[in-house]
Amino acid sequence: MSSTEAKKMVVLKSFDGVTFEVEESVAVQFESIRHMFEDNLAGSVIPLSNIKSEILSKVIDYCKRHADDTTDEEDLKAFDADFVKVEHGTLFDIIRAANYLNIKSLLDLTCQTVADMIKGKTPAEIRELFNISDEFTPEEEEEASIITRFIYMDRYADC
Amino acid sequence: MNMELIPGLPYDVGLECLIRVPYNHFSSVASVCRNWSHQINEPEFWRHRKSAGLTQKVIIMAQARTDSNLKLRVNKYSGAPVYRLTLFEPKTGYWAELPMIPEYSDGLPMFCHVVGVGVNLVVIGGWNSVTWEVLNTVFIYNFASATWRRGTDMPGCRRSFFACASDSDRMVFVAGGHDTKKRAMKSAMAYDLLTNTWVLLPDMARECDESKGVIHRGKFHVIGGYHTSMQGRFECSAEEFDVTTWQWGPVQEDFLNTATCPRNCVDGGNMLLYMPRETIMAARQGSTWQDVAELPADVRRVNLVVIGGWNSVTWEVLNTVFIYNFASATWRRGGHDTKKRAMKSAMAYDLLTNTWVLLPDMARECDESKGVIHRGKFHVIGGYHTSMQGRFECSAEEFDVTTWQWGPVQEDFLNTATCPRNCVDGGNMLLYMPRETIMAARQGSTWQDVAELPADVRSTSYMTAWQGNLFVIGSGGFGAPHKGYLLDLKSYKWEKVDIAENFSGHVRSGCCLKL
Repeated sequence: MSSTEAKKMVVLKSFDGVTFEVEESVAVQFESIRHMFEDNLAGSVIPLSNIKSEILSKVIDYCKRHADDTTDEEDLKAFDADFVKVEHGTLFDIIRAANYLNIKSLLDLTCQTVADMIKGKTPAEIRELFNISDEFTPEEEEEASIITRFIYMDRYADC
Repeated sequence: MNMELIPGLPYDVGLECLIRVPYNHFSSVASVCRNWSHQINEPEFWRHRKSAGLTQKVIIMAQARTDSNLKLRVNKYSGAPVYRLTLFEPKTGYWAELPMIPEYSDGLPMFCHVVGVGVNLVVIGGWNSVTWEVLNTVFIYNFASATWRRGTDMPGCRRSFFACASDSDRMVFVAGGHDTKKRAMKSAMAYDLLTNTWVLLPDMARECDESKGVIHRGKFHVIGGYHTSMQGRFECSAEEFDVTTWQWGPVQEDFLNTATCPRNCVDGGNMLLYMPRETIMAARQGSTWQDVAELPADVRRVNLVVIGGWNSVTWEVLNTVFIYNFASATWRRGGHDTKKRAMKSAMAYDLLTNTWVLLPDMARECDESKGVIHRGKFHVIGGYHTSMQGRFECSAEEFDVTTWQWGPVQEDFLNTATCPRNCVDGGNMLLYMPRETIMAARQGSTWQDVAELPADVRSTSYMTAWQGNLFVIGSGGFGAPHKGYLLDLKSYKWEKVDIAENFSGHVRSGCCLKL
């Protein structure tokens, strides 16, 4: 009897009908649905009606890496950095999934990614990035940009 | 107010993203849209940010602009330095310059107080750096909106050199200082940032000029300073204001163990003590004070009196009183400017005839200098020139009583000067103060030496507590570039801090903020 067979499995079904079999040790990171499989050991399918298979696959991948105690911290950092190098729409899908499943570390990672996107951009660039409608009048905006100019004489380009 | 902050993300998640943006990018965040601007001005936003462990403690300083082309030594008298606000994160070594106050775009008011209240930086009072007009203004820089706004002016007369401290949450306390006639004050008040109003506090028991304000153990301490009639003579006493009972505690004598500034009360060498009081010169005989002469009008705000001495040639004891004052002669120009000018005149009081004799003028003007009779000559040591307000010099001049002449200015007569202004609460229930070559801590009622000051910050211009450390910025001497150190308050070990050349200027004041 191999060790994998001894592990309890949880079956998740995405919005587009794809099922994923996940070890319970990985699925426990999904805080919001944890009670569903902890109460029900029969291995019934848990439907995730608002997560696409493409995204669910990524999220499961992330949780697998983070459930693995043998991965060292440097490797995990590199994995995380790579994980968020996705296009804007995908990142937002992952954030919504992480929020829905209540995966704290993934939510931290992806929200920090959004915060980093804001860093170093002008208000106009930020509006364009997130498709935010500009409510300020041109006069208000000009005033704001004059007053709020923060003069950085830093030695750290990324700040 | 549950609109999406970032389109496509739930409100809560958008908020999670915004709280992760570093404080120095809030200027952009605030300008994106009304919704974002509103959000980062909410106290809830900052509480959330703090509880998520995303805040950083930074040090803000009023620091002189450095000009590497200028040789400070040569241009010592060329004019007042221009101060701007700088921001420093000791952990990352990050330095930045804050925007100038729009009304004072050519330099921060001289001697203004800089205190932190929540995410606001409050700049109170000071002197207009161009006209020397005493200001009663309050300017508030909000890090959330990254904007300056003007607060409500300080009520009452225009005061300078007051003690000032903030509870870091909502209130800024102001006590003592001097009015435009350089009278020390005992009134105190507090500025409430939430309501933008000033609240009067009860008067202190003693009036005090140039005291240091510290919030320590939850109370507003007003330490040292001096009484109007004691110009330049720093006292060791302190008073504390209890915010909960809204009362001042009793005056604590000998709160400080060193009074570092010149004394006015002197032995006349004839068994009498002399002391100038307001408009008269008084002598103490037995246990009573008697008026012996009226003080000339232009030395009534006396800084110092030196009596007696010996003729350097004959060693004959001289019965003379040397007085000089260099406190503020105030006058009006153009209807509203009040100026503080250092003086170079000097005079002598003859105890036998009870008359005043004028001495020739000194070569340099000096304010807050120390007078000493040394080797038969009247030495005037240290002090500062009008245009160098507050920047003590190391030079000295001596008056030869036999030839009735001032000798040449001796540069570098002193090596350092100490004042109570760098007395700070370490955040660990102890008070710290740098003295000469050591850092002292007040535990219970005694001062103890805790560490030796690194040689290149012994002329300490500013000191503040920062996360279990003391951040000390200073130089090895006048004109030398400023260096910074962190002193670990547990191990009392020093760690040097990197300072870029354009942030190596003199620091006048500062504060800490959690952003």
